[in-house]
Amino acid sequence: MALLGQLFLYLAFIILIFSIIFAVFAIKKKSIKYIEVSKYLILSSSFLIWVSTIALVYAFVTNDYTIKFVAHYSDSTTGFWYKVSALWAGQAGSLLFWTAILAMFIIILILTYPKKEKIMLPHILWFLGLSLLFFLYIVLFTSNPFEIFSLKEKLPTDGVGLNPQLQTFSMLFHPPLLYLGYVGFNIVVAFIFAGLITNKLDSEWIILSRNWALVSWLFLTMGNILGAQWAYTELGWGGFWAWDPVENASFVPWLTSTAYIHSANLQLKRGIFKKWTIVLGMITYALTILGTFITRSGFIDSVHAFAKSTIGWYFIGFLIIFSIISIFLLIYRLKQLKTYANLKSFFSRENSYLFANLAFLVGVFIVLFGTLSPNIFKAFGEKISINKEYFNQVFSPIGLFILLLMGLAPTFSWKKITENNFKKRLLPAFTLTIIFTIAVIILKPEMIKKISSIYSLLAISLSFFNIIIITYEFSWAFKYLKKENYSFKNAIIWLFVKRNSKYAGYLVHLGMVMIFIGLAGTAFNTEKAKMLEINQSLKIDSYQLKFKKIYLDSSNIDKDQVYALIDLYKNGKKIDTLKPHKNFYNNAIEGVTSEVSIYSTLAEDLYVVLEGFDIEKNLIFIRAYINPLIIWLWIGGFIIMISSLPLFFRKKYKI
Amino acid sequence: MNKKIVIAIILMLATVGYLISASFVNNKISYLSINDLKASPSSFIGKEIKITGKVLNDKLEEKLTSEGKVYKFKIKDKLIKKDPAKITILYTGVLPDSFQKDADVVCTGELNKNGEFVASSIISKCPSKYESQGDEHPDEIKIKNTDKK
Repeated sequence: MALLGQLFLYLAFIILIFSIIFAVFAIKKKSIKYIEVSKYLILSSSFLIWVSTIALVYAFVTNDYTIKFVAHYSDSTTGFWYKVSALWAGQAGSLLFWTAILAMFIIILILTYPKKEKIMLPHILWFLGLSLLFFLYIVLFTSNPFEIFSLKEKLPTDGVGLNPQLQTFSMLFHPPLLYLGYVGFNIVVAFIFAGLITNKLDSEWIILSRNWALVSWLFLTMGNILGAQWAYTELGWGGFWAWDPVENASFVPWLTSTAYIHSANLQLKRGIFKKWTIVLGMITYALTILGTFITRSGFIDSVHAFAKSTIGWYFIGFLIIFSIISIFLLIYRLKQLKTYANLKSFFSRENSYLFANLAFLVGVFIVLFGTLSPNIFKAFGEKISINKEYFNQVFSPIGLFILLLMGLAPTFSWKKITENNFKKRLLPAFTLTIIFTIAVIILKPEMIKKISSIYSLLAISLSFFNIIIITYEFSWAFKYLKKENYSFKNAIIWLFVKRNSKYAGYLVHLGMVMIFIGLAGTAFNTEKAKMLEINQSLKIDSYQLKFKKIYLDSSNIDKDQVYALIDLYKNGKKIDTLKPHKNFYNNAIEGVTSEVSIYSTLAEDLYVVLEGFDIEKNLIFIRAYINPLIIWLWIGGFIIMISSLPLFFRKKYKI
Repeated sequence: MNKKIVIAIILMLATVGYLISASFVNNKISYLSINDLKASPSSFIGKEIKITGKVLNDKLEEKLTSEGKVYKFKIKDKLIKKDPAKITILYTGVLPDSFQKDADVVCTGELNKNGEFVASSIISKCPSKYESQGDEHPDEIKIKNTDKK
């Protein structure tokens, strides 16, 4: 298996070089034949990459411990799907997986590419060819997943096993989703480069890359949310986001890609923001590479344990070359990228997009500055670290500003706000929001006591404002559909196919609003910890946790589990039995994981961790957290996912 | 560009600039190796700092109190191989799941007058267990772990 996988990768590497050469020839000689050759070469190279990736997965599933990577990341007790996911559990495999995703995207792109378009295609081919070559090079020559034990070494009897913290449902999906998001922007940037070089800077490249940008954005969104959920349910510290460099690395491309999607839409509809769209696309791609560097180089101190290896520096090299070419191309086409908006008023929808873009970029700067500042200071001889409060304090106002713009934009019309919109929509919505805010302050005066809770208050008020605006928009649409006598089916088509970027977009915004509501709850988290004997209770808020029993469950092959059985009472009534536990894994890693128990309601989560125990003395030490509104994060994420699906219906633009 | 837009952008950037600088100063804390700390301990007493090192102990001293478990253990400087500086850590609370001998830990807290470090939070990084073991033979990893028991 190792030999086969290795061989195919080398073959793919060689074929790819030829594909790039033919693409360049095709441009020089203006030959369609060469384009075809280049296309089939890159297709077969991508195909070979897939065969060798599947070979590695096969090696995992069949416990082929002749391969070092397989022996280090799984063992005979690892479950089937976790064996498959072990492919992306370690560095070498995850880079191969990344390469395979890029190869898959290239296959899909070429198979769905419009037959008539031949001008941008060769440029896309060489650019994607080079990107793929870069990854293949790293896989083959710096971190090879097919490396086998040498003949001198004894073959291991069993593998080391997969880190138990990675053996969870969200870990199956979180890394691949982020990779899919990262890689998708490689395709978008290929179109940007092709457009810039061939001077085809109207909407054509945006239309062709629209779904790629959307799908990447969606994957990045889901990847970040699942990552947060993994941290929440798996790490047992009651929180979900710690502003760790690795989290930040996947968060900043999400910010710029969100701005990109909006700018691209604006360019498509209004023909403006050409520079913005291109620059945001480039920055997003650059940030995905920077993120890879951050997570792979050990350059930045992080809680996440990644290998400290030299491959990070390849990514920095790649980033520098990419940035230089990008800046050069931008300057070269600066004149052609000029657009005129002709605004009649400062309060126009265009300007709300403009300021949203700025806010997203400022947000990226805030996060990057916080993440990189320990290294900046190190260069000047001062060793520092940044508390995560920095991020909360500085990023929150930016987030709130974006939330405000999200509500305002629909009430502003293009070019200027109309009197009608101002009087009938904005003014009443504002008034209602202010009344709502005052009501909240009267009901919960503690909201204005701390800075963090004032941020929460603003988040809730602005969320309310957004909900009113979205309701307006939909009620207007329903009235219109009724007046025009649309059937139910046609109404759905009108809303979510013909006008999808508007109405599906509002639903995505609604999901975002829910996430803000969930975030607002974090200012009011409380926690309590206590040592308990049997039948003693921990009281927190209106909950009472009564310790009933502690027992050992050793029925699983791969782990022993210690359970604490706790009866949960609310206002004196028994509502549930919680079973927080600890898992002790038997594999060579011998990991321990704390499995939390969560009682979720729409208003709050009660989150219980078994922190310590003495099974002979029947003692446990538990910690309980009350996390208000947190469930809205996951609901919001789900709504974003569902409601962005209609966006993929492509309107028929003329190309 | 419109004048109003320019003014608004300047206002926005000024606000953000102010927020960053104000918050940065408040949230910047010293992050030291044990050697750095031992070089001039008096200048850090009573200040919140972060330190990083490797866990020395096989067995921890621990006491279960109503506040939770109180741990006492030593960590050593992780960069200096020969005769590294050591420090005693006092910690009440729960150690991370991956805490063990040789784990890299980051402790936040302050130095007390006895030269012990009172930690308010401990993060364990455990790279030795998962990634950098690449060169070791899986059988040896197992033997080592069995020895530890």
